Amino acid sequence: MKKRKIACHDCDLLMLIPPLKHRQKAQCPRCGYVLTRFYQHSQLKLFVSSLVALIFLGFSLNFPFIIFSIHGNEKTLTLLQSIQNIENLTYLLISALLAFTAFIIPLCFLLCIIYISWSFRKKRLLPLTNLILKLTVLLKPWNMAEIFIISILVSFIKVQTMASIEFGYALAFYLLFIMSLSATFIYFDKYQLWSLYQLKSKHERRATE
Amino acid sequence: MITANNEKLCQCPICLMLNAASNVYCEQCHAHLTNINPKCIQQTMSLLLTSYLLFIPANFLPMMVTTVLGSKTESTILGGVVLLWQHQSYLVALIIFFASIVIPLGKLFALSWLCYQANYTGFSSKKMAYRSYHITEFIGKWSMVDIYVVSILVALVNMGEIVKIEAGFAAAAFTGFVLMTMLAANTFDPRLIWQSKPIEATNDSRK
Repeated sequence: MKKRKIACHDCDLLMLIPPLKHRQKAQCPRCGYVLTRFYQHSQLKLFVSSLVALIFLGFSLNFPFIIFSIHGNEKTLTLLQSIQNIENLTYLLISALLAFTAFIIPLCFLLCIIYISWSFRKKRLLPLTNLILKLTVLLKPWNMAEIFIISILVSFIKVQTMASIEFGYALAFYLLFIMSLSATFIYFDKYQLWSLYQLKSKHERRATE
Repeated sequence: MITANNEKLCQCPICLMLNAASNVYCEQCHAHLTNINPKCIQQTMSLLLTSYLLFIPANFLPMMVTTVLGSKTESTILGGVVLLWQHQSYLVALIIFFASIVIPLGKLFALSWLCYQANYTGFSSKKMAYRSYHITEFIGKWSMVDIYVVSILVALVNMGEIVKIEAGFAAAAFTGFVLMTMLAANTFDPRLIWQSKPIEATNDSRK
């Protein structure tokens, strides 16, 4: 890859980014914004970590999440049930927000990444790669799954005084899901992905001519 | 300083492609391009004003209504923190206190201060202003913790007559508040901080 001209996202300074080596990052000299990070085989790592995250998310949806018991009454709650309580408008707003930020957006994000990696590994780009890559970049800041795990711990401590609580398997799976999602975030770099896309589409155009 | 703006270029925020400044849409990904425009401060300010207004009901109305054997107790955000502190779970009390009071307020003040400086005085210390913007953007989503907690508790503690937790209106207000502050941080363009010329954001008279 040769040098590519880029403007800093946060301060608009123009600069050239040379090809980077493993674990190197390019930083803006004026404002310190990290322009890109490079890892060896980052495409493969991205694909694998997102696939693993997706599998763990799938597992965590089915198992009981929290078991809550008071005065002999027991109640188990799965992840999906925690967002299904739509009784009035207040609940509707909150559960919609929770559903989107903790499940639907991470899920779409992971599916999009898998599609893109698959498309990059093929000789020809799959249709809609451009649009899906754009969607992925837009969705990234709205992932809030890691906050959900903190809130589970907080609510556990809040209820502790009221009743006895046990954690189910799903919590372990959800923790693993968060870990692999964070790994996906590390390898997700829009500069690298779009450079690869440019390279691929250029090749394709040349092949058709 | 050679910036993209001086070179009559505009970078797509999504695919990082450099387009001519006259383009409205990016050539590669067809996203909407935005040149550095001081007018975006107005958007940020209106969103900030909305969040200030929403912060009031979010803090003074009950967040959670707990019914234990027929007796109702309502607790606000601050009340919940105090209750946790009394139950000796200091760490959680601190988490909630920071996530739902200190961070959101700090965020609001930081953004207002940035808007004020962009409007009237110009940035006295660009580094400092940029750092505060960066931190604001980074910690923004952590104020969601309290809403998630309420949502989990409502689903979990629902045992009919024995014990029941319901969400109050403050939860909805706080949700709106967090969303508004996140949008405000998104609409603020950090490139404005680094402009060498003073900017006139809301003054139309001086052209």
